[in-house]
Amino acid sequence: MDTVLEVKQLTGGYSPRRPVLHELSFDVRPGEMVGLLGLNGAGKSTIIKHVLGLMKPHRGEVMIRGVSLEQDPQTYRSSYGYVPETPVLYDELTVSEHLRLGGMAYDVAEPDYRARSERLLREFNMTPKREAFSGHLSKGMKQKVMIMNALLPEPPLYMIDEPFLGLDPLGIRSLLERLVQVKEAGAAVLMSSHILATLETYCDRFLVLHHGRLVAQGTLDDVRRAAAGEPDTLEEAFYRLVSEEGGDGPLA
Amino acid sequence: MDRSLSALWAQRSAAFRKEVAPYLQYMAQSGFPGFVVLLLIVLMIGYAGLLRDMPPQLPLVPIGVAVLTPIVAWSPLRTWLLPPDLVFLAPREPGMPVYLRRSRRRGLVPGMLALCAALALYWPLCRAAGLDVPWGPAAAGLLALLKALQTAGAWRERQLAWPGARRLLRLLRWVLTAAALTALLTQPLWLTAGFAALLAALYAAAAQLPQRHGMPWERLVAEEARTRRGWYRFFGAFIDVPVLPARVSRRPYLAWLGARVAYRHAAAYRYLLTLTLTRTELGGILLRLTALGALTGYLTGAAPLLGGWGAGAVYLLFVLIVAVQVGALRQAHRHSIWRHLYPLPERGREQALLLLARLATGAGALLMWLPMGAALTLRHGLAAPAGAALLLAAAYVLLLHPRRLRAAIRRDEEEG
Repeated sequence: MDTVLEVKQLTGGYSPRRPVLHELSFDVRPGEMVGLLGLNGAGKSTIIKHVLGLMKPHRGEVMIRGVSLEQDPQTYRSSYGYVPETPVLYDELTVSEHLRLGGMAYDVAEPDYRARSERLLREFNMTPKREAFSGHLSKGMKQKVMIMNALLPEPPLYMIDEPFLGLDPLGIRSLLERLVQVKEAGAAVLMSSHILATLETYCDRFLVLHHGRLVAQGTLDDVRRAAAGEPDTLEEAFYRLVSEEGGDGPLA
Repeated sequence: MDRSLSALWAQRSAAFRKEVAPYLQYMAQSGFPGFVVLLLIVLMIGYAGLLRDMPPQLPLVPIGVAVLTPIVAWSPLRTWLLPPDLVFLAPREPGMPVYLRRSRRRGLVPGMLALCAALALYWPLCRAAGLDVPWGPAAAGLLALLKALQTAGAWRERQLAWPGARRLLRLLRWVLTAAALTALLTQPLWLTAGFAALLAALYAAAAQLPQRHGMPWERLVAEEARTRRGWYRFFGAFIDVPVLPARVSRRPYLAWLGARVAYRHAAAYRYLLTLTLTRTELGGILLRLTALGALTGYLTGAAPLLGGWGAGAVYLLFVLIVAVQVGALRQAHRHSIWRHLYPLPERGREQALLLLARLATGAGALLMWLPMGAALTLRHGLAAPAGAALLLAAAYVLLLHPRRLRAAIRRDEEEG
């Protein structure tokens, strides 16, 4: 199979009369990390919600490993781990109980769940907080719980929305190291972030979204070429792509 | 500045009344007031029967202390404070005493009325039992003073910086109040007055020790949020209400319930809902209701109310209330995003809800039946009402309530 996530001609949004996304087509392949870039309101979270199946496309389709949500909800939902922009945890569950619930929900074998949860707690420096209720955690720690829960089932696709908000430097490093590991093991990662320097370092390809349309996609060189004047960095290319019409023509 | 803060208090108080008015209307339409009236009538019949035919061994002093202590010691405070007040109102802290005075006054009036109602029920019982309890304006005045002092004590506890010290001081206040009430019900009034003054001085001395805030902003905001949650949980029994974040208690003595759920894909919802039931306020309500039902069952069974049939009816009312409360579990995580993201079949949630409803209501029903059943059968040899109550409760808990709950869950699903 050559793609994990395949989005074809996706038009979608909250109201059929006012689509937010327009005719988007892209894929994410095994063993690659794809960065999703865009200004606030560009449609990044809306793309992720469509892939999660929380929103219905007006047109087009979304497949994970060749399966759509309608065809096989169980397989589709087992195929991704998701880290939302804002941590969403159960107030009455502790950190380790969240991991146990995640392991049960994704049908991870019990010995694997035990080994992986211990390792994740250690890697993210959360072992001392394992019995803490989520309400007693800082925002960064809550984000770590979300990340650990996404990593626990070792799915073929990771969708990560603004993961660095509130994370401490060690947490950011642990996350990036783990994402590189899962990528090398063959998983696909779709990650949205405003920290362009980090995306430039870690991502293999980029999707640049502006007003719900893909204004550039591909490798760093592809994105640079799409921007006027072929700037050196992703940040400069992004700036030029979103501050001018269509990505060509001189900067104002 | 002070006047504007006082006006702000009035504005917020009016806003809350306006906010809950539609829910009150739904509650009134639901038949709940009729249910409460029915419950009151049944209890008054039982009370009248108790007055007529007082069991000689009824422990009236411990019952009086157990009933009066929470009424005297409980000192809630509605401050209407919200998290943004930490930023926008904190700079006006010097003017806050005016604002808080209105809150204190608002809390004291219903507390005094509840105390009067409790005394109006309790004193006639003492007289019927021939108990020599001080009574009259002086005793009532002493109780009112005790109640007013609690407001000051509760405020001092709110000011304490450390939660452990706060809990300890509150426990001390409740224990000292129980001691003062015991003295009031057993000793001459002048002796009680002296004893109460001594206890108040002891409490005041203990309250000086721990570190405290002048204005405990965060505590007051948290307390206000808890009170609002309580109201919304109550209204949630009648109509869909905004979901407020749940308050969580660890309850280590119930931890084994969650730990016992096997690690299996099919048991994921059962695991989540068991933890929800044992750790949220719903679990606390069920524990308190079961304890109250067991105590009422014992008292009505020992009386025995209407030849034991009245005791059975009151017991079944409690089973009904417990079942309605357990049914509120279906609202838990109803709108959680993970319900749509986890690879779990939707029917699994329904099955887990029905199983937990049967188990929790069944356990509550059994625990409430035991003291009533024992009192009816062992003391009075009234096996028929005790057995009938148990059979009806079993039929309701195992058959009727799950059927209703399933219909309610499916209705929720259609509404989305």
